[in-house]
Amino acid sequence: MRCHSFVVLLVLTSLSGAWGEEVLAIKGGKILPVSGPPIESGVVVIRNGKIEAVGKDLAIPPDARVLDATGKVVMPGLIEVHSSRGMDQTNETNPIVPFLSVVDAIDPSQDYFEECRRQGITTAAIVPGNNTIFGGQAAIVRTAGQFLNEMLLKRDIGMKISLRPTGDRNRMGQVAAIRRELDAAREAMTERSRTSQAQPQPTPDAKGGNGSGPGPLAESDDEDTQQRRPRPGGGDQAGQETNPDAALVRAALAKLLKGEQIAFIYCELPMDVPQAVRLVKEYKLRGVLVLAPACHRAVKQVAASGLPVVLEPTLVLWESDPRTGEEKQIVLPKLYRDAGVPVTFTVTPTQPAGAGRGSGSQPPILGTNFLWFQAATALKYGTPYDEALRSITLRPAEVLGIADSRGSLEPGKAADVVILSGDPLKLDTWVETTIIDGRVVYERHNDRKIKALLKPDAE
Amino acid sequence: MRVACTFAALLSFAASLLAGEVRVYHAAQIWPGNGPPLTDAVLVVEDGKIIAVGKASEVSIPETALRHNLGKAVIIPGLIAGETGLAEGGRDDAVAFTPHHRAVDGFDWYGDYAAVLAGGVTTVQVSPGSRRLVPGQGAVVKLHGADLDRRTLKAPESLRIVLGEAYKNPPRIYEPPVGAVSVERPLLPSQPQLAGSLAAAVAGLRSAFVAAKSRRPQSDPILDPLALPMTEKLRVRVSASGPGDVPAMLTVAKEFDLRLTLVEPNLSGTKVAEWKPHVEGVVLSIGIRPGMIGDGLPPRPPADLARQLLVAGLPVALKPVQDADLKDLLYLAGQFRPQLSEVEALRLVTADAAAVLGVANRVGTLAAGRDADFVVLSGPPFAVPTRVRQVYVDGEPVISAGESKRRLLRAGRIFTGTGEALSDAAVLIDHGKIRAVGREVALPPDAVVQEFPDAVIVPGFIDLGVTFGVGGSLSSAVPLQTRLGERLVIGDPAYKPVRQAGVTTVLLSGPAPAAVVAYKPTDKPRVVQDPVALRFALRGNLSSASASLRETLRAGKAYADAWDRYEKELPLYEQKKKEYNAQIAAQQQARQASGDQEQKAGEQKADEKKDEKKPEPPRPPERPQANPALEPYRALFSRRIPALVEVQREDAIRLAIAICREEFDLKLVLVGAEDAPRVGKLLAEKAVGVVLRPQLVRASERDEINVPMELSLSGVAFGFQSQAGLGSRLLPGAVGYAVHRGLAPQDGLHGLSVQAARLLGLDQVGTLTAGKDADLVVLSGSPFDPATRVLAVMIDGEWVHE
Repeated sequence: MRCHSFVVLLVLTSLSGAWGEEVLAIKGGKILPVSGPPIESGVVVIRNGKIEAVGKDLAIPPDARVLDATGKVVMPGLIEVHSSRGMDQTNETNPIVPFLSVVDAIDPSQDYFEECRRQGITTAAIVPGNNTIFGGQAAIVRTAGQFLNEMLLKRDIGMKISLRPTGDRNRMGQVAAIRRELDAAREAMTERSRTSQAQPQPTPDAKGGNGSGPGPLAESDDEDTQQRRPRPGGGDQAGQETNPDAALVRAALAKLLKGEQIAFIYCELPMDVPQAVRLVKEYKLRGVLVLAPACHRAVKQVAASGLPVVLEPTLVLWESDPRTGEEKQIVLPKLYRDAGVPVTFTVTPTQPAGAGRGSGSQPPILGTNFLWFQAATALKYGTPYDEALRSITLRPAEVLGIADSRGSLEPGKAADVVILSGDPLKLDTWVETTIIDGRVVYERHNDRKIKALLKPDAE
Repeated sequence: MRVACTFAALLSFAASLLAGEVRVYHAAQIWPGNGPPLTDAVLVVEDGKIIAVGKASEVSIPETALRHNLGKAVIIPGLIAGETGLAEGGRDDAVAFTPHHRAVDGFDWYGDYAAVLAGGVTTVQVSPGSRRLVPGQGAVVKLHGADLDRRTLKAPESLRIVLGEAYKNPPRIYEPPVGAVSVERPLLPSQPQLAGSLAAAVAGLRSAFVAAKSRRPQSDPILDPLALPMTEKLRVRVSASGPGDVPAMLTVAKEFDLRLTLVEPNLSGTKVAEWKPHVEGVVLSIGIRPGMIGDGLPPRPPADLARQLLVAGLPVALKPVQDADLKDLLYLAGQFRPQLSEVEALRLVTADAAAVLGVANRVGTLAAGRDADFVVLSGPPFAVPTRVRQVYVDGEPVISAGESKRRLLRAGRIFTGTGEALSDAAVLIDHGKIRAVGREVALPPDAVVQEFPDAVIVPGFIDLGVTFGVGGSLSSAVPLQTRLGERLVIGDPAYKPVRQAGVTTVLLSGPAPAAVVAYKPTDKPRVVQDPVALRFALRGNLSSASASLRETLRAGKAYADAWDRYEKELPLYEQKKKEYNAQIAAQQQARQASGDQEQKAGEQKADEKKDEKKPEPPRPPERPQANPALEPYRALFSRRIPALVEVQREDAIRLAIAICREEFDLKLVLVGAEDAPRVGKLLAEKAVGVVLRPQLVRASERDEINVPMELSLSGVAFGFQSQAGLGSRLLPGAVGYAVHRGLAPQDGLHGLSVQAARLLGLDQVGTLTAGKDADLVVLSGSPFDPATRVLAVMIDGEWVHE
């Protein structure tokens, strides 16, 4: 029911100027712009939600509201390149749903977004979970906003393709199903261009705009014709052509095949990596590899592919040799760095195969659930400081194609700024203030939860 | 075709590392896979490919080639399995008709195939499934390699059709899958699938082929693969184990002009002669399982059928009953003898298998232009003791050596130190200990075998007195409480040359009186026993020296006796204490039991209480004060360690025997004792051993005295000491001279090993028998022959000199 109102509001609003205060100046802090060297006691001037200037000894505009960051650290807001939280449920039940959009499932009131602001994450790409073959359309959102339209930065940026078998398929069946859909979509594309028949093309936008219902399930009356098993001998698949959902699937996949969207390809096992690389090459996809820890054995293939990499929460693991029983520590950031693979991190815990429901937004505990902690782990195992910082700011922005407007503190970019009590990669550092598009969305001294937690006589 | 060919060159840099380097493998025999073996042959490999194979005398080899002389070893091609379930672990999809599934998609390139590779299997066919009518397309892959393109030998290899019994009555399909359902998507009645009978299966296949043929050129993801056998001449792999399967498939094959590979064909209703031209290969299930006993297993593999097929000119490949048997593929192929010759049996897992799988241009035979996939065996392929020594895939060795903690050393002769000289024998070493010695020794599959055909293996030598190990000389007295074993330095410069001479255990002490430590001169010395003996001296003025020796021993004995007494009394005390505690407990229990009655007869009870006798607690024995300086004497007086007494002349020898043997009843070993030959009888009688000085053969007046020889003739046990640092390495040579001057070689050898160990009570070293430390020396010839050189030395199972 709540979702319903969001959808209505989404239709109503297309304002962006309403976001952000007029002029804001942050002074005195140590600025880590990520795109350049640190600036001691510098000034960041923000006007109309954009960064106007970053530097030392800048004149502070007289009309600016001044935030004194003396002794503190100022850096760009963190970006989570791949998150499956913030939705009413992580995974859609049906396996082939590329036409659905996470936009219809995002719940701005979820604790996840509040937690993001508390950690200084200002932007997140919400991508469906790993339990579908083709998950729905991903979207990039700001982590603050009362309503979805305030949050939404960019919708339909890509989709999830999972190589982990779904349902009762085995890996062959999974890959065969992916190929089948992509082949069909490609064929439909060429067919269309050949006949140059201007077919009316149903788009997910249209569906979303119709406000078709409370959730993704409503659209799933019988969209899985593709999933319907072939019948031996009865090779007649003509039914597909008339099924409106088959057309929807193809239209959605066409964007992927044209390279307009990112394919987040989830690899569970090392053997999935060559498969993912092969799919990317064969279908000319804009691939991003989402790699489970075990995939490190395919690091050479990953490096050779040159594809962007998202690492799952577990970064340090122990493996025992099957013959000698010797325990060996595997440090993923180091391993990938040694192979020359730049990485980004996701802190969404992986859901076990087959887990359809559940929002995946359990309260974070200290450790791998924190984006900064992942960068700090990389730093600990030899990644240079700048590189570690980049992996949670500018690089995710590059992977998501929003580096022109976010990911670093540069004039002209959106004013996503975090003020911290100290070094961002240290355990005892607090996020003091989080600013998204020039608007303060979190202040520690107003954080009632933290206060309650740290009250000396708290029960 | 489009499969796998696209992401080529991904890791070609790995292959380029090997580029340009020519390697030559020279072996006693090379079995090319498709013909009789070549003897004394070479295999030339460059850049992962074979560039030449032939007799060593006939192949021209580039100057710069890296040569590997494999000695008696035999080279065969990497083995090929005709069918496996290594894709997805053979798990079948629920759907019966999935020709678009590709086994190569389900093959784990990063799986652990070490055990299979170690069995010599380098290439396998992976099947997309084995219990559905049309499970998909098979592929042929290698089990090792970084370049996945190079590893994909053929994909697709065949379109799989499963007849027999397995395909019948596949599970019903539920749509949507059973689980949570929504109102919009109710659970529908389940759908039956093909096929319930052979007739239905054949009819289904026929209509599918017709549909695939007629739909051309329009594309359909499911039907397209079915057209491949007709358009691309893709093989159709049919499991035809049921009666009537083969004739039925032959009709279909004729109708659509298919090329078949038959798996486990059932011969009922058909003749092999009728199979051509549609059948191009056969895969036979081996039937038996290695080492398994079961009522369902056939007694023999289908060797007669294999013979029949080979005669008919059909290539035959083998399929193990389970993937777990892959590692024994060579052994299993050997079971097809005697119906097949050895060459033919090997063909089933090499050349013929490659032909059946259509990959003969890459693997299966050792010939110029083929991939350098080969296996080095220790002997002929089907001989009983033959083991896989190394496996190469694309010219790269696969088995990482040195992983195993077990070694088998074979040598021309082995002196065990127990008086035996075994010819053509072997020693099995397991985790630093000797497990077995003999002419026929068990050969664990993981053991690393090393051959020393003309060499002699003897126990590691023991030097009963050296001066190195603590970084300098020990000229001043070392207090008895000092544990020299804890002071040994790491990497003393003398360790290496000394152990290179074959000395594997040495004794070290300060000047007498002192404790003696026994250790092994590895880089990080390992203490064998500390203390291993106590050293005394009877020198100079014998009356004062003997008095002082007596005094020392008496003090030691008093200390040892006090402890002995204490230790004897302690168990008695503990026994008493236990009894006492039990008594007290019993009393208390009795009191408690009567507690209830107490109120009834309170006063009466009180009287009784007074009467109760409290037993006397036993007195603990007095514990002597521990004195680390005297502690070693306890071992001495309990005869756990011997007293080493330095003596020279006969009178001193007699005195030492009188004091140590008769007065204090110690285990006595004399050190030095030049005059020992004169009192040989006495020494033998009193079981006194002697540690001989460096100068073993002395001139005495006009005579020459060969001390060890004289002692051995008198039946006196003796060992040797160098009393030197680096000079310790000359000890075996010095004994060699004594042998040259008349000492029996065996006595000399025993003096250096087993006798020395026995004198000191070292029971972990000294002989080559099961359970002892693996300390041994490999000699190029007979021990003590001046021409003999030390080839290798092992301490605790590790080579310390090679």
